[in-house]
Amino acid sequence: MPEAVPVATMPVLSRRPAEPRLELAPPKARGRVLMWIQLGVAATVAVLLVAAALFPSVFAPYDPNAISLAETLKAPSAAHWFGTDQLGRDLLTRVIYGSRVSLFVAFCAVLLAGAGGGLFGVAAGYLGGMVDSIVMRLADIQLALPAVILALVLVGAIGFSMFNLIVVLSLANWARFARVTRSEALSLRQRDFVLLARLAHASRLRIIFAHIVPNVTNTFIVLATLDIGIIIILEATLSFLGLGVQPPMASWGGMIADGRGYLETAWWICGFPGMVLMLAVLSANLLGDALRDRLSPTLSRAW
Amino acid sequence: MAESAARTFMRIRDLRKTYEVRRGLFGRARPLHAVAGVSFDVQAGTTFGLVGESGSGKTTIAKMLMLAEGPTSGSIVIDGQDLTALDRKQRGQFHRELQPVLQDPYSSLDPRMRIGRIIDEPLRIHGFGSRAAMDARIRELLELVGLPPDAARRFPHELSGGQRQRVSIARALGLSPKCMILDEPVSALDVSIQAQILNLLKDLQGALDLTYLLISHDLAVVAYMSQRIGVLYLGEFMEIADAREVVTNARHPYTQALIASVDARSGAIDGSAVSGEIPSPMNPPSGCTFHPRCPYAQARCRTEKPALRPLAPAHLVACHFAESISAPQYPLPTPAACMPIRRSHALPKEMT
Amino acid sequence: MKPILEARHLTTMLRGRHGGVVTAVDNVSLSVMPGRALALVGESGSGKSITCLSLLGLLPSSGKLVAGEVLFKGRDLAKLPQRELEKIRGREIGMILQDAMTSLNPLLTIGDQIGEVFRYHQRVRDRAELRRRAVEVLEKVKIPAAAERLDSYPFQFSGGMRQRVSIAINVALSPDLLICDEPTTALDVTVQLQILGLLSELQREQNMAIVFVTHDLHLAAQFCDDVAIMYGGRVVEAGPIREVFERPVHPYTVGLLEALPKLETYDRRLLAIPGQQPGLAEVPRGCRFAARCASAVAQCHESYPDWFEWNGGQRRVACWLTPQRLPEPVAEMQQELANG
Repeated sequence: MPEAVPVATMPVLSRRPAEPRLELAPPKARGRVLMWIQLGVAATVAVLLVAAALFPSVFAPYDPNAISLAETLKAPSAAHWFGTDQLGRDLLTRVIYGSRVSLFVAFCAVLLAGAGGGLFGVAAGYLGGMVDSIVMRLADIQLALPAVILALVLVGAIGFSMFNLIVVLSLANWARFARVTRSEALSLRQRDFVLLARLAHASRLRIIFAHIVPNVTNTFIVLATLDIGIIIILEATLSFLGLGVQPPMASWGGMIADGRGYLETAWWICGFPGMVLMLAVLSANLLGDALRDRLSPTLSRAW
Repeated sequence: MAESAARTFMRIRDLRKTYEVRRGLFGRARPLHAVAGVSFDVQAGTTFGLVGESGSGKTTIAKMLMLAEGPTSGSIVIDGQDLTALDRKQRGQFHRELQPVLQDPYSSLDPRMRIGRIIDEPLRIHGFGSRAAMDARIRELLELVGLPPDAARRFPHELSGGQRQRVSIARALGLSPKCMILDEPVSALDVSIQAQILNLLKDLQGALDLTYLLISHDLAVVAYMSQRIGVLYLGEFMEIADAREVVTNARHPYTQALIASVDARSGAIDGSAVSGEIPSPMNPPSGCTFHPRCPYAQARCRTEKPALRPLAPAHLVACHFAESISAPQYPLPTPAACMPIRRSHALPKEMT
Repeated sequence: MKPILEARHLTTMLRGRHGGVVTAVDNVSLSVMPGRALALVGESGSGKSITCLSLLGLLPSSGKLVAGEVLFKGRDLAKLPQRELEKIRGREIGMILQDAMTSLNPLLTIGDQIGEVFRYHQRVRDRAELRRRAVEVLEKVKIPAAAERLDSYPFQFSGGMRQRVSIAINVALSPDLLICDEPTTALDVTVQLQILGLLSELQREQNMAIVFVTHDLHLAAQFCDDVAIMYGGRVVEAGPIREVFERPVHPYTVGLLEALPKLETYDRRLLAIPGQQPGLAEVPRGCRFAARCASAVAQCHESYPDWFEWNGGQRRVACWLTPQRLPEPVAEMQQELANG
């Protein structure tokens, strides 16, 4: 290894300017444009639906229950954008009022299932032992039964009503949340800040609500948003089978059921509720995906 | 250091921790002696450094002293009080005296909590006082660790690794502990930040008369911080001595190997003396646990386990041949050989 | 003597998570002499690992080498397509990454993985021949009972052994250059020394050049011949390692060495560098270190420092204050030249 600078090689101090910083335009990210379009469309649809559900009278031109025997089975036209059904009721209005039911029921059911299932999952993951075993076995049972059958049985047992419907949908759905929050709680339990809280003699309740739950919310939000689509379809299925909201209250599933007999003559009775249903679920899913992409990077950055 | 006024703050005697490990689904449970009988004293206001690599048991000892786990056997006497004789509740009181600072600054802070709340969590749990009192304490602690007062409103992800570690220290100091258990406090930090944190810890020790138990695999860090150093291997002490003794007169071959890894002049790369890998703690070698890797091993080392015996009054070595093994052959250099750079030393105060 | 690898004006940009672009490697030039080991030293965020990846053409999809050339044996690696690079990697340039567990395929025996090297680069087909060569290579890296261990899987090995296997795969064809990114960081200290000793021996036997990326200054000092210190994506000082570490010129190098706990100064207070590294997204007009530098003058904040070089370009520093901070022998000679 060279020790001192040998006199023979010229130790002249030479100088040259530093290389200038490159100011290049960064390469354009390609996939992101598509993502923004997706997000934009999904958000717009979601906002419209929610607005329509909250303020139906603003958007709906007619009374959803106004029967008009003169206007039965009219095709979509300027007067009736979605056409009319077999009793002459304006379909657009009924779809809008139906959205109230679907969205409200879905929202409540997801919240109930999410909060309940989520808390059970967190408790199971953090406390372990007996609690974990019991919760997981219950979850297994719920997951083993097809949602529709379960809902059928439950509705048959406790009868029809909006409240019952929400309860039934929650019961058929909570295990998904429990599983996810349980695994999150399990991994959180290993983290240093939980250990430090334990060492500081925080009670288990305090740790669960002050530390575990807030760190699970990101995943929870993503899961809940994705779940809304599933619940909407489940509710529609129940209504389709006549087990959900009862007529004459409008509901998408019910309308599709009604339109079954007119598929060839008046396709719009099934068609439009179905399309709006699909749009609602699609936008919920897209929003959920976007949230997942958004919240997950923050997750890893924060951790 | 204040040796004359020192009293023994911590007295550990024959501490052991054994885990039962089951291999595979149907295997028998076999014991894993993570800590196989360690004894040492820590004087108040000083730092005791535990050095070792993986499997040495240093982290397990730290956990036991943090009261995160209980020992399988042995005694821990802190400030005159025997911990093993206390019940769980009473032992809980002791955690206020012994505060931990952990290795990973990214995992030690709850990412969803603001710094202020993270720091005052122990205060809230123990009913420190009014909100105003706690806020004042938080401000005080932030200043103590060199963070600006507005840091209390930030989230962990807005801070760098070094700053997070400062937060961990501030939190640990909240309840005015007498002792801090530092488990690899700077291993995850860059060199330039390490020095800041180490100096901060040193200053705090002087200002608040703290006792430290420092755990690290880096002998240079341990030598810098500690007055007394214990070298662990597979759950036992190989050597315990004052820092100066360890640096200038290490007698155990394992200590010498650790020294070689942090000393540029040792030339240890060519003809590295220590061979092999650390054996699994479940299968410790017979006799002296280090003998399979020791360049000086003799037949006696395989059959007879060396006791930890005093080579000099304060220098204990667990080696049959400690007297004849010479210390590494390089003396400490004179100051002139170290970096002579002319510069002005107006070091600015810590910036965020 | 011509360098075996010469990188000139490498500039790599990385796309951050939220669309921002940072220059992770900013006009980095390195030259590696045959048979010598170059340490690429820096803290986290200095760009040393990305530089490594840029040399090999292994940047992730979020990164792009936007400028510069990497001359290896007369060819510019930066301009070659991946296909050509694949032929060079493993045969003429080896690479060893930090965690051997992730660079080894967990589903293949190590015999198969070593055999892959011969099968791909040398078209050896005969199974017995492949095994024979694999054993030979394992013995070179001092794995005991090599023949029996050919049929083991990576998870059955300890960390140090896995790293040896990784080394074996990469030196099997006696490459001219080995690029290592923190190869020993995850290993125990006593094992680190063994691995470095092994690399040193292989280097001498095969006259292999090595680029050794690390943040551990002690190891770099023991193992390498030359060093390049990186800060904020740029090289700030370079030269023979003994010289740089014993007579550092750039304030960052000085600060780093003074802040490093060393056994020989165990009882002296460490001088910490105040503040912390700015993020790569912040680009000051002048020297990136100026904000933390105790010696900074106005010019340091205004424009990026020129290169000051001596010893035939072997020793270089990017600091405006270099003329006042030269090591004494050089300063004296400067003076002599100026006088006579």
